Amino acid sequence: MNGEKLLQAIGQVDDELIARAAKKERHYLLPWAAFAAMLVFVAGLSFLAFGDLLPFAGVEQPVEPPYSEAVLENLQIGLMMDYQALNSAYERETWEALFKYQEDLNIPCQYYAPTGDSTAERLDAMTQAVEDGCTVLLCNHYSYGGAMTEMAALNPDIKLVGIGVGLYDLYIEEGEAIPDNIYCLTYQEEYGGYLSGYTAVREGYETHGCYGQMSTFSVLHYVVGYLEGAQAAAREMEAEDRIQVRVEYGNQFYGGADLLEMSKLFQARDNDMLMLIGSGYLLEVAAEYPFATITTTNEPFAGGNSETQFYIQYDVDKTIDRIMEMLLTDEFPGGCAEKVPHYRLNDGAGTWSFSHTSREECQQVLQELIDGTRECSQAIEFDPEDYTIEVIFLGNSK
Amino acid sequence: MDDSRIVALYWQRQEEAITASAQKYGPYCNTISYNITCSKEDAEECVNETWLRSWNTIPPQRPTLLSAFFGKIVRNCSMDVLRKKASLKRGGGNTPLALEELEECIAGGSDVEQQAESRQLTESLNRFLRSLPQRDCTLFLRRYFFMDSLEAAAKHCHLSRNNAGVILHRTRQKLAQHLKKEGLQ
Repeated sequence: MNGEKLLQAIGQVDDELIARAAKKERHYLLPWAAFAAMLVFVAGLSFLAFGDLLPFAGVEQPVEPPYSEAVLENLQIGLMMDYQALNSAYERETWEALFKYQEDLNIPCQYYAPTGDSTAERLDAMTQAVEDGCTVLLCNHYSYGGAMTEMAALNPDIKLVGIGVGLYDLYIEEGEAIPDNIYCLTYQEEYGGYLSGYTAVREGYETHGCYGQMSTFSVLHYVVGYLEGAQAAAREMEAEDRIQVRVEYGNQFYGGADLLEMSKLFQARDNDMLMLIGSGYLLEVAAEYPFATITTTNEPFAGGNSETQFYIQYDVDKTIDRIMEMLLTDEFPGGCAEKVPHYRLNDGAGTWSFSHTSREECQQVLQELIDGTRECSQAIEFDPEDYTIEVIFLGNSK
Repeated sequence: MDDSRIVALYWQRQEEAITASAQKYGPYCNTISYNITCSKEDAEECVNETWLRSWNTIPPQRPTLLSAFFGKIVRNCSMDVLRKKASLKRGGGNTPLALEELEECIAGGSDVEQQAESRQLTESLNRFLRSLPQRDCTLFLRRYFFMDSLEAAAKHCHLSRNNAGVILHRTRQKLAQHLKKEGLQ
């Protein structure tokens, strides 16, 4: 059995060789594809923002790297972290996604954090990054909006990318153009909500509690998306008369002792499915609850009493890849704010264990949302009367 | 979570180490195992066994490349499962084909066990792989370490199936020459 002997020996070769072969190759658009994409972009077709980018694994792009040595030489990236957020999963994932480009392409990357929670201190951190030679600053929190606007005027040659930064986070007057050296992206929250609602109904849950931490624009988008996704699935299953969604807002940004009480409240209402929209502390509620979907946090879910979790997370890798493609092809879309649909949907273990919905079906639903064949409102208000499933609005819980 | 943090959790004997490992490397290990066993159940079992063996070996070990560390464990475990189930050649997945292809490298009736210790063979393989262009080395390992199908290995390296087949054929020929030169064939 000599072949087997060799096969065994291959199993023991140096770790470094294996790790290198294990690494995923990076995918870039072919030059023509990038060029075509930019043409469409310039033409102002907003749907380009989501073209051919799916938030699930397995989407292959043509591979020839179109970047030039000149572009690579001039790239040095500073990742501007949120104040005191260095250890959050979201920040870590962002850094890891960016760091791959340093490993693969030798693009110098460094992260910076402000020493305080103010625009002036954020500006100081950004100034430090520029003094260190950074030519691009990725600002990874909406709170950078003001500092980005000031920095754009002070350093017109520095490219500023706001991740999670929307048009209204920038300090610009209404009607005023976004500076040419700023590009902002936010996540298409309603799509995350839609996928949650759709999948929850497909999985057979009928009584849903939809809990938003605070009725911010972002949370409202998720809620409306959830309702529309749940209704769409109910319609497909001809189960509209069986589905009920109770919507409620916590009216607080923080966690604490009342979390357990909140969980008990949900239990008392006999919800068999819970949608939680908010920051990491909601994971504690999810852990107390049999079935929950959690969104807008990338913290790993660490068990609890939950049997099944629908976990919508920001697909940070896709977002960074998208930004890096723009930078590497030297096609920086300055003066623009757009929304991206980069989400990933897993169960709590980070895998896919849903019984009635396949990953491919979810991909298909998302693609239909992206290409417009499936509708999802971007509204931030809803009227329960407009739905064919039963929607009950409970207002603020406190 | 980066690898050093995961390893630190193992050293601290925190069970979160396994959750974090599964989250980051679960699909990766599952793919390797499935490539070998061609069985969802066996793959799942091997992946679980991988976390258990890791828990039992870290500490004292402190791996720096977890992809390689977990990859080796899950591969060995999967090969064991396959061996137990039947003779290797009658096994499922990509293993029989990979095995058949490799036999040409140590063909001719010589008994490797009598000529060289397994460690010598591995060291020789390391030297050979390091002498290859990176793409060819990756392609070889995708096919024979990760047991990818030819299509999957080609895709990983952004090659057409035919091109990958030709490169692998030449690499195997080179390996046969290399082993012969080192007295291992």
